[in-house]
Amino acid sequence: MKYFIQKIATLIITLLLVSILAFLAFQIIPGDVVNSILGTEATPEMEEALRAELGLDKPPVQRYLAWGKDVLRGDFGVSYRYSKNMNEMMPVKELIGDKLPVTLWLALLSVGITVIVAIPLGVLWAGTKNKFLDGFLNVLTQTSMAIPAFFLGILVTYLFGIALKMFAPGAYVSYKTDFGGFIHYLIFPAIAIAIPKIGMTARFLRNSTLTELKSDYVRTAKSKGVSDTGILFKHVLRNAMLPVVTFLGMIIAEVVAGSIVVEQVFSLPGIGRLLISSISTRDFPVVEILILYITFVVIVVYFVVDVLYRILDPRIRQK
Amino acid sequence: MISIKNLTISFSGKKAVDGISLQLEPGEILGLVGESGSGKSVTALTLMGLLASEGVMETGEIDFNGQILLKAGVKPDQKLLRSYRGDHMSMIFQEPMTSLNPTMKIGPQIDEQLLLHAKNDFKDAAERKKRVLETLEGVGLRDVEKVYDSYPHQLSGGMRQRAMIAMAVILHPDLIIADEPTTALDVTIQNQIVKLLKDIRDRENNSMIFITHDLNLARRICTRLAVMKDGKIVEMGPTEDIFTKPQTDYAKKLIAAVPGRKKSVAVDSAENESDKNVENKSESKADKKIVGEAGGTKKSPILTVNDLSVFYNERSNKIFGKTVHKCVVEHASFEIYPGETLGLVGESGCGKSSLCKAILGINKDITGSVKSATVRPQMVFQDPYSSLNPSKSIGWLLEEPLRAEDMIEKSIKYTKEMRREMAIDMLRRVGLDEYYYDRMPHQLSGGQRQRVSIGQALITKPSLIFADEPVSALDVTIQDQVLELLESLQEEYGLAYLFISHDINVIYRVSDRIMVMKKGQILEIGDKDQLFDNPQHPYTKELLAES
Repeated sequence: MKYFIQKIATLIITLLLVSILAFLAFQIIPGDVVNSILGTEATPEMEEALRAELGLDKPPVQRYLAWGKDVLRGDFGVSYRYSKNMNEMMPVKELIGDKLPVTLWLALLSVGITVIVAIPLGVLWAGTKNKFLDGFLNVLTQTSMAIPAFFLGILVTYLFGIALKMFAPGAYVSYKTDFGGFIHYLIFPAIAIAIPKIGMTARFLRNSTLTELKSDYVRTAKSKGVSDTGILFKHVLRNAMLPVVTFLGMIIAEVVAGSIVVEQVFSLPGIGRLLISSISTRDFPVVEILILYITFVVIVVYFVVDVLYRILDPRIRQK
Repeated sequence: MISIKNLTISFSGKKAVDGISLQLEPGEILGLVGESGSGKSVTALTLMGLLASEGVMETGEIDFNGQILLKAGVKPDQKLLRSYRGDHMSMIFQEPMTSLNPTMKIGPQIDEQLLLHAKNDFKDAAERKKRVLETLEGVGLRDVEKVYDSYPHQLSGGMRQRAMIAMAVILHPDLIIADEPTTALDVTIQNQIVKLLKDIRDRENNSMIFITHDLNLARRICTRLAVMKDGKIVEMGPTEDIFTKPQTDYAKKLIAAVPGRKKSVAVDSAENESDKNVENKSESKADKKIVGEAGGTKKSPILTVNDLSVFYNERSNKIFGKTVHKCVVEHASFEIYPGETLGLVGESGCGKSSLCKAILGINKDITGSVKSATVRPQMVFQDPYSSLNPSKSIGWLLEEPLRAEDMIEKSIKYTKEMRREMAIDMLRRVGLDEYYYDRMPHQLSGGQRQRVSIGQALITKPSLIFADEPVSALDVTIQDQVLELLESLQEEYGLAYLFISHDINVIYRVSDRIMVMKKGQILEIGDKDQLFDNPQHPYTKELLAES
């Protein structure tokens, strides 16, 4: 219980710090949302009026506090740039609401694919005595890590979309209309994201498995007459997974924050594209919420990793 | 009957085991003794069929009750070996913490033996569990249900080793190989484990191979000894014969190097002689001290520790975690006089090292007072492999304390040449040749490295040296040489030592007075003989009752 309270306190403090940092960054970076909305033709009076309308005429501290109060009440404010129609402003909640699930599902799928492929691959690699397979996997994983994400995206599009015709590139289906179709479409960008991660994770797991295979308890297991496969799966895997779990956590955080490029290549309406355009137009309310969201997900992922680690390693659990 | 015939093992051309032959009768405990690298463990691992893949069996065969398990030139039948391992022969390893799977509960780890070799003898999991619990009880563990559901880290070292033994004996194997099974344990626990192994042998009449570098221990448990050196068995025979009438020079040397105790059980020529040597030495030292004391007024202590308590903060790994202020040494008071050796014994974790650190000023979280009549006492550490920076030359390392002194004390100024000269001089004094100046630590043997450590401690000419288990990581003969060096340096410079060890025999050999510590408290301080002949505290008695 104490543990959970501590974790939640960490979460709150981190979110607070990140929101302040993001707010400060917006004070410092050049460029002004008013200019960017009205263009260069605007008169000072028009700018003044818009500034007052958006509440930008107040001092920064007051603005931050007002914003914070609204967020705590669940009101994320309105976008400076997007509007629903001629008369209505676009609430940030609505703007992001549509796009969040896309990015989340994409991250989830790519992590899922990474885990499912990388773990057996890593163990197989560590366990193999076949020199050819060893060398082949070495080259393969190295290559997968070296290819840039956008190029992988193009490769996947070509291979699965154009050559194998497993999906129609560009024909994104919204999760609201057809969830199955949505997942089907997402699998391919997820593969593009997963490939380098698979390479890294498999390599990492292989190395940690090889290290574990040299440890004393493996010798004990051998002295009991346990077979090589038994040693690998019953004794070594769980111990070898310990560092890999931490590594996977970092990868998940990276996937959540870094799906921007792949979203572009597969024309997915995720938050990656929104984040980029909002930053360039200084759309503060949108950016702030997006950053908080990413922070939140990353912390939750680390929390899950921590819990998993505790389950896997009884020595940590006891402390 | 198990026999090894003419076994030769080589690692990349270099022979690790060189044509040894052994035979084991049921109920016999054969001790394989020798220094590290003599091929003891390689022999045992080969017997188990666990030889590393780099090792090549060049000649010989292993016959296990009529079944040829291994034969040179024949590809080992792994399936056959696996069926023998654990079932007919089992092994107990040195370090019980790392030898058990840290993420698996004790029960399932032992149960695995039954699953592998005797699955059909049991109806279900519950019946197997019953058998595991019985075995755990059989090795002297209490509260076995709880042990069954514990992870290794939740047990003490002694309990872990008992669990390890339970794993080895559950299927009543014909052969048990114990590879330094007590080396990582405290003395009192050591005795219990040795007794347990003997009891098991008495009960089940299995053959045992007991590998150790500790000859005192071998003498207590083994019925027969095989002395190994450079992969060969140089001498083999009944234990007492080897101790009393060693035939070869090497065995003589080895037995003479064993730190003996006055209260040795059997009276025999070799040990007696070594005992006399020790006594003579300590007597001469004592004489000199008396002379020194008589010459002037009574010497004032070189170090006075008064009511010293040492604390450290145990910080939990959490953001708002409380820091716990823990007391590791409680109200210690003692004195060290010039030219004497104060031995400090106690089990691991009793606060020996914390005490030293506090006196040296490394740990500042203390109450009480430390008064030192000398410039900075220096320290010699246990592990000569890791306490020397591997990327620096021996000369550099020897000069390091001088450079430090140079920085701290304004009055002292050493030039580069002076430092070099002093370092080379020190090399000679600790018995190393001048050309070691440019060597790197990894090019030196353990004993040589420990000589360098001693040189490092001595080069600033302190009159007090703290030696924290300085010979624990060394082989007996090397141990002997290093102790001799320490003794001769003491005479030459009139040094005082605070000598920490868990080995009673070593302490007995070097100390004038002995201090016994347990759980942060000093239980007893006294003159060596008085303490050995008439220990006051029950814990001291237990510690001494070992042989």
